[in-house]
Amino acid sequence: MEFFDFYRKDRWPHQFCPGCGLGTVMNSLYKAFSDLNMDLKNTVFVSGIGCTGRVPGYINGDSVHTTHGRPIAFATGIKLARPDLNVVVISGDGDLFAIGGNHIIHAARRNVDIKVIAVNNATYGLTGGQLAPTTPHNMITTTSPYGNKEHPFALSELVAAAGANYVARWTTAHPNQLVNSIKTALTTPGFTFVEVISQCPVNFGRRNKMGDPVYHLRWIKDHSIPLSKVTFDMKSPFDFMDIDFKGIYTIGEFVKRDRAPYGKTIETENNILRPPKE
Amino acid sequence: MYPTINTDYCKGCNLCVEVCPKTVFTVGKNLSQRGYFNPVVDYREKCTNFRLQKGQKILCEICWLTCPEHAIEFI
Ligand SMILES: Cc1ncc(C[n+]2csc(CCOP(=O)(O)OP(=O)(O)O)c2C)c(N)n1
Ligand code: SF4
Ligand code: SF4
Repeated sequence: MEFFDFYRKDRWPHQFCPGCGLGTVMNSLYKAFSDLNMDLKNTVFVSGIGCTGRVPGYINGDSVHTTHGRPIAFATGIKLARPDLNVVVISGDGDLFAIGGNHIIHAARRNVDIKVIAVNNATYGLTGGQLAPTTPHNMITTTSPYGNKEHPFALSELVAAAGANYVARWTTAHPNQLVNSIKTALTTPGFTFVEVISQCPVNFGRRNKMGDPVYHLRWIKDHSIPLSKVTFDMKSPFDFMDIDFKGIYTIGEFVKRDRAPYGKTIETENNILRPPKE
Repeated sequence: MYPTINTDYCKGCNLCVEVCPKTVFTVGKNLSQRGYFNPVVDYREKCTNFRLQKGQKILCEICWLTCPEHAIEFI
């Protein structure tokens, strides 16, 4: 598959700001798809509202651009109605974890067979860079001019604890590993989750002395360490995410499990739900 | 094969300059038609893929993967 078989050439160049990490995520998604030789015809891309939510609009396949915070709910419905389709959710941290937080926790708990790519740019990019639940401690945003006095969510740890089958966190500074993780996520049955720490130079970086995308990418690279190098006293999510204290994002593959997906635990016959035959 | 920059797509973010381990790119000084300072491919012979023929498997494509605009193409 060529790049412009996957993305719509008539929509290029895309609308994202110069240096935005979403382009890197789009490249990685294409690479994973073309390496796996997956068929766009059997795949539905679902997104919510936000800059990240715009990504499926550029894909040359079927996509659903849903209401803010609800892509997981729509995706669960699509998967249960049409189990033959691959359902991929691409959305932002604000969309999936702020307004849609409960959906993702329970989808992971049920282990619905959907693949989620969450782009974590630590802010609400589309609406002008407000404070998000993922903004690191003491970082400045439009709605926290004296620095963020809250502590951020640890998204991957949360989803892993909720029971997903595969969870990984990478950054836009590690695109090769990201491609491999997306490939694993697309081929693992059950709820799979890939978090990408991404740069938003325009709405987050600019207020934190990282307006140049190069500085923002360097910052991300300097503040991420592989799971294997994490020392024992830094094993709680609080320590992982607080850029102010220990100052790191841990990156790597968090869990690989083999629980039965939700669609497999129930079966429909003549529109009546039944437990599966052994 | 070596990378080239499509000036119709490039938005001059200079991420390719940052990520290339062989410093093939340098920061540009001339404004493009679209109003961006596009980087220039100054040292194409330093690129890991320089000796490859078209159709061979690319060895390093970190600039291609990172470029948010899909402006980099190997020719
Ligand atoms: C119900 C509702 N509330 C609020 C909004 C405003 N809104 C639009 S996008 C957005 C945040 C998106 O942030 P995120 O998901 O992190 O995506 P990003 O733009 O950072 O990629 C908000 C709050 C909305 N569109 N609908
Ligand atoms: S506002 Fe931020 S996330 Fe949105 S396109 Fe611009 S850089 Fe990317
Ligand atoms: S990474 Fe792409 S868009 Fe950015 S300067 Fe290089 S070629 Fe241009």
